[in-house]
Amino acid sequence: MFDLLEIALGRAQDLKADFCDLRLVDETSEMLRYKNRSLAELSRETSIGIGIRVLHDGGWGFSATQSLAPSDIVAAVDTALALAKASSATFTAARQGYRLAPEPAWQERWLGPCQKDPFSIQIEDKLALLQVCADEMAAVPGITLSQGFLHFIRTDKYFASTEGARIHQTMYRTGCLIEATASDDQDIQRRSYPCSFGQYESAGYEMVEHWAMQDHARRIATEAVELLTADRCPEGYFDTILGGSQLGLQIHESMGHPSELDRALGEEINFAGASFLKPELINNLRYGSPLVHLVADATATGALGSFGYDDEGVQAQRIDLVKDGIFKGYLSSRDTASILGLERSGGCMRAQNWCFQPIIRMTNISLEPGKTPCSLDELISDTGSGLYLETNRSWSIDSMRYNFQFSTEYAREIKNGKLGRLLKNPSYSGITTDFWQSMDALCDRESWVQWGTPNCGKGQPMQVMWTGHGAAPARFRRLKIGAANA
Amino acid sequence: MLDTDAAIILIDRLLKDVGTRQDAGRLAFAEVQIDSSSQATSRFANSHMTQNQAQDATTVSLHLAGRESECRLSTQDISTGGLARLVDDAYAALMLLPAAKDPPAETAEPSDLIDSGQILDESRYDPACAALDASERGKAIKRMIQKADGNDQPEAIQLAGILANGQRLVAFGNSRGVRRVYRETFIESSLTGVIRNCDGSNATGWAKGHQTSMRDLDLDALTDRALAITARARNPREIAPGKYRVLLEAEAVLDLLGFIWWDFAATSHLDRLSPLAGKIGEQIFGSNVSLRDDVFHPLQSGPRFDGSGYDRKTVDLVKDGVLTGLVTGSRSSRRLSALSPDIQLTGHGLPEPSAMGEIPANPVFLPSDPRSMTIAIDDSVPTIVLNRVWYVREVDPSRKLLTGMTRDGIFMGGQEPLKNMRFNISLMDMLQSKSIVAMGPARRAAGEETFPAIVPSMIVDDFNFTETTKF
Repeated sequence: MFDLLEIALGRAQDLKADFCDLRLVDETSEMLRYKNRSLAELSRETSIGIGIRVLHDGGWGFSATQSLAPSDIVAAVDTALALAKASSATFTAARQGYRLAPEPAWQERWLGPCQKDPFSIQIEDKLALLQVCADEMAAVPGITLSQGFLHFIRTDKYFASTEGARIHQTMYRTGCLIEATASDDQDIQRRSYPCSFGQYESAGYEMVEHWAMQDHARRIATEAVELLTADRCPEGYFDTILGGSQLGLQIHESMGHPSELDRALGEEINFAGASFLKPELINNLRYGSPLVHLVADATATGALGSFGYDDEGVQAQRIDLVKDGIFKGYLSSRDTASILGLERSGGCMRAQNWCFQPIIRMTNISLEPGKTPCSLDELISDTGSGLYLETNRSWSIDSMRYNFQFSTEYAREIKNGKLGRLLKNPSYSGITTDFWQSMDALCDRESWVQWGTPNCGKGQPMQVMWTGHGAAPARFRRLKIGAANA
Repeated sequence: MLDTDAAIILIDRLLKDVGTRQDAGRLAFAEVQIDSSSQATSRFANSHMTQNQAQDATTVSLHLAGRESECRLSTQDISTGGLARLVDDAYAALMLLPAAKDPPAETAEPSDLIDSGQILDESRYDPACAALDASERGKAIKRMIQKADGNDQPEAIQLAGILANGQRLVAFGNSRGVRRVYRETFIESSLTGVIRNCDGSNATGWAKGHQTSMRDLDLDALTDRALAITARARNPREIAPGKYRVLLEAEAVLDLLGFIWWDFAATSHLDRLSPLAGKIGEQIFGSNVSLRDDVFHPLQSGPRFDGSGYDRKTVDLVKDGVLTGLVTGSRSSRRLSALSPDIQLTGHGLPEPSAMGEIPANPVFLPSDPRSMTIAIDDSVPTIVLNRVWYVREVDPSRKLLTGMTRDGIFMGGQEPLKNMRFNISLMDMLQSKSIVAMGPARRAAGEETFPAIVPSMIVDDFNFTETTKF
């Protein structure tokens, strides 16, 4: 494959482009979806193509082609250069063009973790698992819809640049979900496992076995039916424990996105929005309580947002975003790092596939677990009275990432240090920094999970990206509950 | 990207290959769908170009339906070898599948179609739109930036946004002899103006347009609108949350209504995921609400056939507030017709097999009296104008309870800028007669939460703002 990329690089050098990098992405995916005890979908997709990025006179150009014919690749380089020239024409002396922060020209082969190749597992075995789950859910009276899926992706990515980088990465991503819905004339309630929209990891079929969906199918179905007749979650201010997967999405929205440097610089303001985290706040903003330690860790084994090298050839890194509750830094790229005067990119540039230009994306944005031993039961016991909320149902946050509102599938009252009544339609809301400053306890590494979010949207045209979020259940004092129903 | 002839040749070749395989006798039918597109997007911010992209992609998918099972495989490798592998893999997958409880969906027969002889539809293809190149986009963006630079405001306005154009081909063919091709173009611009407030923070304004023809998108007017909203948004004040009368611009109406489109799909009723399930013939909204799915509407876009090749029919979804119809695909119409003989195939199916079923892809809101808007604005009740809603999500599907934020222009009385607020509103309540004060004329609107549709601006009462934010 590198031979094809050399053709493109040669063309870029012949045309005297200042810089050119290329990604040839070869991807195969398989989706098996069950609905009401029957296979609803078996789809397989293959995708291959080259994304070509050129920087010339400070302007970016990007072209993508799925044709691997040398003449088409050369034409795509020409297009990218023409686009770069058109971009550079919008810069003036007062508005300087882009430059790249330095990065070694890596020449590496990187293999992501995969113990059991999901494409080598017999389709009968995959269907049998989904069938068992479907039967378990359907066995619960009151269930009106049961669904589940298995999703597998294998990606081979070849990267080369005029700086000399040559990187070949192979990675597997695997996702699984079951969900049970109960509805009557008044209400619709759903429970999901392992988390809403599916748990995804950088792993093979072993992750499906780890989550043992068949052992949880009957429980979530029972809970969905029970929610129909449960009491409504009360409104007010409550000490609240958020379950790990819900907290993962909270991290995603209220720490991951605002720490994207392109947003902070105003480059995504038209669609994805901007950020309240201005550069002058680095080391100067109390973002959370001293317990809050948030990292961007692209090196975490098995986490969904992990890789060896990002899509502009920068080596994966682990970076502090918030340490001891203080805002420390951004997710960055080579060009935005240069604007901020950073020594090096944070290695966060990724594209959905060959067809898209890389942009700054979250890697694995995780809340480090508590250092003091603490299980969920111990945290509930320590809380006395309050609420426990888990599994996301909806999420929304403003375009600067201050005000948020989330709702979850499931809540339990905490009374006398124990879980009590089941409560339905819980929601909570707040302002990002107030929320994180109210965190006063969290569980330890035993309860910490690398949750995967497979559907993060950003960019124009919209790109969907894989991100990871390590989190353990944590407690927030006097959280505002129930604004959705006010 | 592929042209019409290349698409038809590819479909014929693929179906011929399918038909000559050893297991071809076990097939009920085969379908091929091609989605081929070429688009370019120039992005800019801080008044310079940040990205300039051109993408070209073709996906070919093959749906094999046996008598008791089915599968769909797709590829972007359209070489001879790639397409042969697609057929190999599809047969291999099909032979492994157990019999499904629900038999495969049906596919269109030539005799099912009104225009069975008509293969190509390019009524929404504008050659000028397809030909717009990088330098022309660059010049257009430069003109927008110059407009912003020359804006007569106490503070400079920085402009950010996109100018994108492209073309798309959708082709369908099946082993029953149906061949259909649809080509369309698009041009889109979304613009955000940024202006500094007295306290050092920023205020923003936004405008967006999406059309299938160059002549229908006036970039100068769009820029002027974005700049005017931005200038007006400077130095907002905070007001207490609560229930207010609001004027929702058409883009805001669209991004709310987008959350109810699927409730008009038969599968959402079969799955009991919609609060409208079982309510056909009942008054669900105010008598001033009428909705239709109409691919033939002059402001609409998209192919006039569905994922199984059937003609897309115009469907009255809501008439004077009464739920009158649902859109169906071949599978849902079969299942529903067993319950109600009045249910017909409307040609809205997604490519099968699909868990989601179908979607009304061409909604048209029919305002009862567009003149009412002028009358209502003269009313003495304070009205908040919402230019754009953002990050709208469904909180409770049983009530169609939505939450979201305002963004890029919220004005008391249309003039006095306000800080942004969070809302929680029930669509089921908002679309009642007592809530809808007035509606403007319907126009093609483009938002961020759903595809473009034909909707009016709307004044509604008791719009529930629940919290404020800091800007």
